[in-house]
Amino acid sequence: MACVNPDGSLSSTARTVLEALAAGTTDAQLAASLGLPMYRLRSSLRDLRGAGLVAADSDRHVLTDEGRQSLS
Amino acid sequence: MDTHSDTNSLPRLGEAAPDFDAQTTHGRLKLEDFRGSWLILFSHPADFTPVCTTEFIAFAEIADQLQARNVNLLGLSIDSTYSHIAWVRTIKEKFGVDIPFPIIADLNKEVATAYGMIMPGESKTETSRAVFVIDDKGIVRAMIYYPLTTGRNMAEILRLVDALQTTDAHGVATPANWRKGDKVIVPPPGTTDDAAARMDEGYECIDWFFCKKAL
Repeated sequence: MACVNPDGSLSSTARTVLEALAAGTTDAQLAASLGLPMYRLRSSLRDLRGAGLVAADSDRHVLTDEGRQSLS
Repeated sequence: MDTHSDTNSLPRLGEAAPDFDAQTTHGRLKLEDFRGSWLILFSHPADFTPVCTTEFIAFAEIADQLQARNVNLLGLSIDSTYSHIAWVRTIKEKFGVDIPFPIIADLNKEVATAYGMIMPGESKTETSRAVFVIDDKGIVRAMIYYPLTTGRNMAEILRLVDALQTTDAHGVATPANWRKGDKVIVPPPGTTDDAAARMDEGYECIDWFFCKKAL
């Protein structure tokens, strides 16, 4: 499931991940809190990085300005 | 001799598992997404076939036990994502079983070729029943191949994972038909001095090269 739909809108998974990232958390904590296996979270984060909505930062990902805008 | 470019590759035990970047029923997945956990990558001949259906139900039944061992499951066949989705939904509808793991839709046979899953003597268009156990560092630790006609044994897959993880944790080997909790094989000594000392080291020994111990 792509995180960003063909029309540019966010999938429900993407929105959930972005909202959790907005709260500030490590990738491992995020996977645990969402009940997702790490491989699925990594796949989602890769899609979101590709869409410019998040950026990798050490052991976590952070929202970009575009990512924050997508949640508003 | 006829050669098949789709079938001439085979991973080797102890070497890095071939990378992949594949469309699955859980989105696009790469081998690197599984780093830090073990992976059982397995192929089946085709969706909507009876033996494969029994296997998928059986894999689903051991998924929690594998998860407790830090092992993820990833299926594969040369079918489309839509076929996989429809089959998974049918298994849920007809058998009441959720398939919790992703399935690679390997229509271009890229992953099947990289892993040597196609056995042209059996079928040139389907993958055989291959199982690759890949450890948390991305190394191929075990391979099992079954023919199209024979469903796999989940107890053996669990036993194999237990044996490999026990070897890693304790530096031992495991004897025939070993099960978790059984005594393990102490690696044989490599020098004459060590061989002479081995019988007095407190192990259960038949001879200097054949010693067991409980964990």
